[in-house]
Amino acid sequence: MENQNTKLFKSAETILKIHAKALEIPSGSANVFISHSIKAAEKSLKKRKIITKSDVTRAVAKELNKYNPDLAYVYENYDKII
Amino acid sequence: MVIQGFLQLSPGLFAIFYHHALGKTTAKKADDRALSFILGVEICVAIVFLVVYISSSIFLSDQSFPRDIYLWVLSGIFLVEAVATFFLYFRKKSTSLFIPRHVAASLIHRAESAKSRSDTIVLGIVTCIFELIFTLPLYFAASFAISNISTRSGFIFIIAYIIIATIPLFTIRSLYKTGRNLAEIQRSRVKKKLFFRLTISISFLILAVLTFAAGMLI
Repeated sequence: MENQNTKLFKSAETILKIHAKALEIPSGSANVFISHSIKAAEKSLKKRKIITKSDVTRAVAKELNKYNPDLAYVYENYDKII
Repeated sequence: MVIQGFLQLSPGLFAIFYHHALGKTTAKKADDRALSFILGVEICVAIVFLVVYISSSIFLSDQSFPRDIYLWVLSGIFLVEAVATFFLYFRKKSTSLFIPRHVAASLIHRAESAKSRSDTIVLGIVTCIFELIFTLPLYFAASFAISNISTRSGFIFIIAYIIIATIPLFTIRSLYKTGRNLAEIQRSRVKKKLFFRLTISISFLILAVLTFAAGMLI
């Protein structure tokens, strides 16, 4: 299960890096606050035994919102665009 | 034409596609592929319009063909579309559309993985096909409208139709080119969701009334 959760966070990180580049966020700062947000989200979901993709999305978006609201918005609403 | 310009599937997928292309390639390449997407939509609109125009002109040229019944059937379809666009076109969440969620996910996946011009042209064609449920009756009505005018004027009408169908895509492209991003575009789409819904629905209703009245007058 832990391996599955790690996969979810890893894929979130990859997706966020692509979104960050598309939003023209400098890669240096983007990498820093993306990894901060991922770590904080991991910490907040640590107590849960089962984590879904939407749990990860919500938790990461909540953390990201502190650094870059545009990136958080795109990440959270991406699958609701169409 | 107005309805075609307000439908949200191809603009939504185009916005996702452009955003993802910007994230994976250079701005120039992303723009080049975006134009291929638009070309795909234009090809699809042109082919569907021509097929519908040619097939409908075959039976409309027959003098015994009941044109009034044809128009009343179209009017009924438009009425159904008016109700459907108001209640079913958008889902509750954000600007999610009527298409099944797994199809939407698959389209998004295709938009993300489109790597060549041919991929993006096909993507444009596919989105146009998915919209046919709402656009096909429009092609029949437009074909009926141009069946009584000269071929030259009809050709100009078809070109205008194709241009209007792709105006939203060119608008999104220009927004990206002027420095806007997906977050801003999506926020504005969410804000205007009710406006889109009302405009499409009322336009279908007006079309229903007009085609019904035209059927009565024939």
